[in-house]
Amino acid sequence: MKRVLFLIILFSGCVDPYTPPNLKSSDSLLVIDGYIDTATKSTINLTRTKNLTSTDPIEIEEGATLWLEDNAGNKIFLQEEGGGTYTLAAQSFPPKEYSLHVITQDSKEYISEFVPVMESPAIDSVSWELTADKGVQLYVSTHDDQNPEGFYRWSFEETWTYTAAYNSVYDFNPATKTVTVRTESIYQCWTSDRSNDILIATTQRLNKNVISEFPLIYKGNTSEELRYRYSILVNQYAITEDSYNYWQQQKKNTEDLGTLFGPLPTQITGNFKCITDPSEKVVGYFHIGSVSSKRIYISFEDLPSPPFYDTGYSSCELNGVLLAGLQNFSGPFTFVGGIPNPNGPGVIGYTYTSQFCADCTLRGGSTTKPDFWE
Amino acid sequence: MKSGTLLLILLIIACLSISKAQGQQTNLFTIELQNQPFTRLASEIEQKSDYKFFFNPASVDSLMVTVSAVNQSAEEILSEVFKNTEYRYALDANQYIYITIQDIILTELPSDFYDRTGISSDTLPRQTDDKRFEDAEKIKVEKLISIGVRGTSSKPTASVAGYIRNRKTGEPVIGASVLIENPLTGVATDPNGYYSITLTRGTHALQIRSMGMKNTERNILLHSDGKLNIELEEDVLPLKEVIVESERDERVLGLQMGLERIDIKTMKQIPVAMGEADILKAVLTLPGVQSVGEATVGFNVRGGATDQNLILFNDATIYNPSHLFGFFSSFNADLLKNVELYKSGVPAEYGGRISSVLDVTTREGNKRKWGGSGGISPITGRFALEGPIMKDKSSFLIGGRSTYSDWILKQSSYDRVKNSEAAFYDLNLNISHEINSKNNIYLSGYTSKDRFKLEGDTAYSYSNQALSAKWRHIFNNKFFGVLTGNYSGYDYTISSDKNPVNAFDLTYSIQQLQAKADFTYFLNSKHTLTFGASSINYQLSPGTLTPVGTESLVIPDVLQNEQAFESAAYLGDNFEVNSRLSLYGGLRYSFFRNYGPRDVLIYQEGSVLDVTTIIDTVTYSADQTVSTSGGPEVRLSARYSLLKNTSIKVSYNRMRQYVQMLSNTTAIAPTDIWKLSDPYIKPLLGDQFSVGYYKNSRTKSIEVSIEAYYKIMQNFLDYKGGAELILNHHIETDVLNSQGKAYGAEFMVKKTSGKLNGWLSYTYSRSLVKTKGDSEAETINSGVYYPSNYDKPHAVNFIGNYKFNRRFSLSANMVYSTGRPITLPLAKYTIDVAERLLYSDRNEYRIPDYFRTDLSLNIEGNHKIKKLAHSSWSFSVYNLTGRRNAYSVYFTSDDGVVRGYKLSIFGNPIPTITYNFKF
Repeated sequence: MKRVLFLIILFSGCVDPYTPPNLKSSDSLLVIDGYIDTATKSTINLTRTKNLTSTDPIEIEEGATLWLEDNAGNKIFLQEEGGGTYTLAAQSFPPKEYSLHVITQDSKEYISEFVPVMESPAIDSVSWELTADKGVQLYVSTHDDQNPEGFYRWSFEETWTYTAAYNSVYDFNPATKTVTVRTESIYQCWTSDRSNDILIATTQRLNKNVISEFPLIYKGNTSEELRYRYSILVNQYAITEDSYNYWQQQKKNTEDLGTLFGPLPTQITGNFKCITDPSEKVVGYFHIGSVSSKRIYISFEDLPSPPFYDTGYSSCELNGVLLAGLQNFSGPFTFVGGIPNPNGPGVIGYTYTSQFCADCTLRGGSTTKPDFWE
Repeated sequence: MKSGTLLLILLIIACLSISKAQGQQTNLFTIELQNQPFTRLASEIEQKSDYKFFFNPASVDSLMVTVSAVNQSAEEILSEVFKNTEYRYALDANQYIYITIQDIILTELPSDFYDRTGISSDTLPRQTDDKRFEDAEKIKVEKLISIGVRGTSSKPTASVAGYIRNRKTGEPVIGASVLIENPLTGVATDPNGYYSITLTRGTHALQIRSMGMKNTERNILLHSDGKLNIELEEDVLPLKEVIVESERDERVLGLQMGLERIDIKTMKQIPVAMGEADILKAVLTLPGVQSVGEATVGFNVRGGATDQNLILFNDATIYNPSHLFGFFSSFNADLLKNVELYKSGVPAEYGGRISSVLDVTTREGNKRKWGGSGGISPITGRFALEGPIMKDKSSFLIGGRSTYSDWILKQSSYDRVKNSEAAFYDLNLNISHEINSKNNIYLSGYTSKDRFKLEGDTAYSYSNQALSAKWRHIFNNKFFGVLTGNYSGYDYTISSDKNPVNAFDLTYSIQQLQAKADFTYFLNSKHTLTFGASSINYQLSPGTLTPVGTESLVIPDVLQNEQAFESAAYLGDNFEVNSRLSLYGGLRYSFFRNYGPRDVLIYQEGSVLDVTTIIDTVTYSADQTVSTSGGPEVRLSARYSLLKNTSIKVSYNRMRQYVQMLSNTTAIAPTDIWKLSDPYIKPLLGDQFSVGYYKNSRTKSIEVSIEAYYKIMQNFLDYKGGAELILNHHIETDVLNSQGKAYGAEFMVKKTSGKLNGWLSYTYSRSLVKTKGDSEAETINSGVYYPSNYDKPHAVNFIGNYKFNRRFSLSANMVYSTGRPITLPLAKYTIDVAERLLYSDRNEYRIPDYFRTDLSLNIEGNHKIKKLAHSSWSFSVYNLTGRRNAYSVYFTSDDGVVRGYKLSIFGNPIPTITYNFKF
């Protein structure tokens, strides 16, 4: 019913930011985040909940002891890597049920329920289609012949390349007032973003364990991500029914709210409990299994050209300075190109712009091409 | 407001068209009439001759005649008809026949006759301007009407009964007070306009008062039980005298408390957002009625849930009273006659819901002439047509309403909007027929459909149907009965065909058939008995999932049908102990039987109901009883008059409810389902005590009332976290048993007449819920009482009308209420790179307070009586101050960061123009 909200807004509704008045502070609860990937090195992060309005950095939980225990009592310990991160090197897991144990520095012990190792079937395809408004809708499809019904969760990482507003060829040294040719380009960058939405689906109501074109994300036609080349890496997890219900509830609690047709939020924590203090709540859901992945690319050639791209550079402009003015030139500007001499060789000055408009790294990207990039 | 309206209560004039004097001639008539009104005879004679009749309609309206004449003269016929009555006739040279009581009129009039009455014959108005009309009104000549047969009764009292009708349309007038002032004794007409009052024999001045109608008086001489039908003139100036004395008297004099009656004209003055007069929006302006937010489906009465209101439309239950997510109510205001909301002291004839009864009745069509009405507002259009099928005997009324919102959406330049659809319509048909003076039948049909599809994805549609047939029989003056049969249906369909692999249809339906008989017996001047019985058969198809298309992999899934009978019998006695004290005692016994075929899951004894504790399944065959429940429902009220215009009332009632809605959202969603009581879902039980104080100041037409109540609700449903309500084969494992209590006080000051009228009310009310189960999973907020979703402690409502003159009036509406409770996140944490939330105890916080002001200017067309169509314009501004009232406050994780938002639906002033017409 999320879309009812949309229609309501259509009828002159409006949404304003809202800060609640004086909420009481809550206890700081342990958050156990991460899962065990049976194919590679796995990471578990321990953090603490913080008050809703708090702007403090996330509080991390260090010095804890973590281990996996199978239903035969065998233990596999994790290594602390600092920063609240605990890891487990790649290894093989016999098909048993496993539980994660955590003992924190203050000697509180938390354990998860025993969960089976879930093997994810391969992703059949990551596909996309052009929507009516020329945007791109991405889908994932999979199937599993081994199990009659499936529960799936996906996450993805988008990577794309973008350029600054102007390609800076020159570098100005404000100390020496000299101009040199730039050796390393700051024009083209690559950047990545991970999915935030909870993407889950089940084939419970279907007579085959088939997921057909589950919608992952929609990119509007003016998205900067689609300007040159865009890539998406989709990770697929097969999850248990209980885990599905947990994510479903998480999704309702944080993503589907907003209308009166939305469900009432409920208190959900996951499959961990504190055995030293049963009344203490702990947040997180322990999962162990394999992950299937698939990456696809979309290039601008595959798409119709939009009238413009939302680059964030729309207010950028180019100014000029003559050679004679260089001695008095200062300020946080980046030189772009030369102003050619209309009467002969050489330049009579340079164009310059703000650092933001010329340096793509200032928007979070990196000028280094990722290893996987094709 | 048509010509008929103005023709009137004048003494002598029935139809004073000036006919040329003609030579004396003898007309002979052959007329056969069986117990017909005298006016019928008069018109037959007039049609067949040049005779003109002159009489006071008021003095002959109870005269029924039986004539069997073959070639008889008018004199012979009239002599026969008037034999043994007090009526006299006189025939003059112009062939005018004057009918009088007791005194024979001299056919030779004094030459200055018309001047003496201040009215000259050629201006005696068939149509008249208002001024002259008012003058005419002042002429009060009331003849004594003799009722019953002299000398046939030896009892000290006798009863007089009959119908009160609208002279222009022949429609019954509901809730009109029929009373004598000394000693103050009164009754109100029932929904068919019927009244019966028992008085001491002798002369009385019987007063008849009703909203929107002219006050009338009849002097009667009561010999023995008899009939008196009275026709009332519609008040030409409804705005001025609308809320009139009937209600004024009713509040203080009536025994009923907690009853709100909404006059359609008042309702039409209330400014609304989308230009449609809306009955549910009008109901929400009453003290004690709340909703979770504007433009939501349903309403909450005195702390009860939205599914605890019995919404009756011509006796048939309506399950979803709204169109378009709640922007419009399901009822076409043009067709409504009367709306009554019982908040407490519910009489024994009503049952089946524990909070309130909203009884909506539509008009009957005009039995005398054709007419139509309609209106155009920014989103909807409506039209109604009515007229006689057989003049004075039967009529029809048909009305329809639709929206062009679909067309509006198509005009959008956004694809997302363009691909959305939203539309609805509703249709009504009413037929009423008077078989004879003792038998009437009424038929009513209603159907509505809503359909919406957002962004071309999943499509939703739902529809309501209601059919009812009613036969009303008068056994005698003191005893009448109504036999009703009705059908109600509600169903919805959700379908998705975007992805062929997942294409499905999900359908739900509930149908009920009801038969009931209600009787009223006016035992004597002290006691009025009501009794009757009803039985409802429910048939539910709680959910059917079917694949659509050949590619679809969806597995068909069908929930078992549910079926049950809900039967009840009741007896009530209205006891006028003396002029100060009256009592009402009623007992309703209701019984519910859920029957097969059905498979019932059996859970391990003593453990929590859960999928893991299912141990067996018991199969019940067709018609085999699965479970039963039931019990007595006591209804008591008392009124005691302290002073002439002051009274106090107390009441207690118990109600049982066997069908409830499953909904774990804040407001009713189009996908919510109704569920019958079964071995695991217990029926709801509601008890309410209330007490009230009422005072009228007659001179200033101001009434003050205070009502307080305390209410206990048992067995209502709450839900476990993450409960899935759709297509759930074992819903009992996901519901929690809760109990609620509600209490409050309602203060109201109402000015009922004058240029400025309206009301101001303040309500303090609380509505609390407690859910305490055996395990933590079955307990909410540690098992203590917490505010319900619609708990709004303080509410202030103001409705005001100022009438500048007969054409212009200004209405204002102001609403304030505490924000509704909400569950807010207290903490956030990061899981899988996105921030997630941890919530407070349920409903621990509130959204910001609500305040809104609306204004509307109503312009009536000119008041010429004869013109093609009467039209009116309404200009309104909803939410004049543009305050962004929170509809909802929520937190979502966007791009992995939690943000809080406040959603307002009507965040700006919304101007609307509506055009209405009537012909």
